[in-house]
Amino acid sequence: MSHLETRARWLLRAYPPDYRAGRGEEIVSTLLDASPPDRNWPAPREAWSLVTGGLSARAARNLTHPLATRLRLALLLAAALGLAANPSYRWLWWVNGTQPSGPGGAAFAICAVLAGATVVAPWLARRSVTICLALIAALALGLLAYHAGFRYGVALYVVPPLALAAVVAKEPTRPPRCWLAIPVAGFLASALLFFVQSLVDYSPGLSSAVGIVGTILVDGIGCAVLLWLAVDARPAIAVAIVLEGFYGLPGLGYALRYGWDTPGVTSRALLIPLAAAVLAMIRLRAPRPGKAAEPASQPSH
Amino acid sequence: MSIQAAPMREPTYFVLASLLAGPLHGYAIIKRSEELSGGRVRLATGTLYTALDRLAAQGCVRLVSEEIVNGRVRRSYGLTDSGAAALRAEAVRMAEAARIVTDQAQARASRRPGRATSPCGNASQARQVQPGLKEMTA
Repeated sequence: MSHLETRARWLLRAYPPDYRAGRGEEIVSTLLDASPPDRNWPAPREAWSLVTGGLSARAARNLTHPLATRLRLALLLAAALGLAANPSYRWLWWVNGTQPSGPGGAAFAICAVLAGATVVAPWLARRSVTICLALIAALALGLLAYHAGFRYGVALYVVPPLALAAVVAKEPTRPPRCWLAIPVAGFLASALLFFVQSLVDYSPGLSSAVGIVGTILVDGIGCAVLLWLAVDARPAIAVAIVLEGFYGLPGLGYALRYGWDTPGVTSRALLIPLAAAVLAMIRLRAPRPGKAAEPASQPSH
Repeated sequence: MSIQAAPMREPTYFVLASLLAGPLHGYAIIKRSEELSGGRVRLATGTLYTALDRLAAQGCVRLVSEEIVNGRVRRSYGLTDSGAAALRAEAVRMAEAARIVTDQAQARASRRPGRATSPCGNASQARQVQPGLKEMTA
């Protein structure tokens, strides 16, 4: 296999796996025919066309699901993202040895394990196992939050696992495997940012390095979701839901109590979720590929 | 004079036009499109297959044959009747659109026989092209 063919096959990964299985050989064959014999890399325009062609094939594939399925999978991802980001500092306590001692510490550790298992379960476990895990996690996290004195924050701990259980009970379609990267990156980012907070007093140099990595991860999630929007609205909807839960609604409550002129309140309460929702809706309104097959005498392009 | 509301994109037009003479495989479609367009349309591989997918979904092209050449899959695509009709309709639409301009340009030239009507040039440029225009219209 030539270098060109190896690289062309690597670019083909932009296409969905089943599309590659059916058309991959043919596309590679045409690309090799169209390239000069001494070429080791695909021409930039060829590479670009393969990547964009693959993304549009994926977009067309995603749009074949009914709208209700797409929205439910978006909610599932939002729940997993919220659940992954929220309890990450409990893992951190356990890792750096600052967890509460005694039964309290054990309860925190159990909740963290339950939350982590619940996050990955929709991708890896059977539906019944996922639902059981999510319900147990909701109960455990709710009790823990209540006893820890997070009176107003209990919903933030209980709603994500309950939503996850409800979606998995209703929706038989598994989310795409690559989506798991979003809650994992969210978990890592929030763990690193909590880690920075714990380091800031006695190790400023290290804390800034860790903070940079955490910020890159957080910004990376944002950028990845924006790029993903070209293909699929669901991750964008999920992030919009999480932003609304973590920033929008608290910002709205703050604005109602203290006024709208507080810096940052308007953007938190309105602009961030609104922008994410508008972007997601633009993508959701894209025509379905099946419907595009109009009478051939007047093709739509 | 009516013109269809949804014009075909140029690469799509030349993909369909390249299949007029008979079924072709992917690379042959790329080469034929380039020839027919005078080198203006150079289809990249990904663009070609995205267009073929869309045209197949619309019923304009169909898979005609599949063979193995040098250990590689080679599929040939052909124009369907509705694809040929769509291509003819687009050709008529473009001819009508061109006629609007050529008829009016001719009428304008006949009203002002001494002046050139270059849409992009200024008056001095128009004067420069005037002799050539006279030759063409003579």
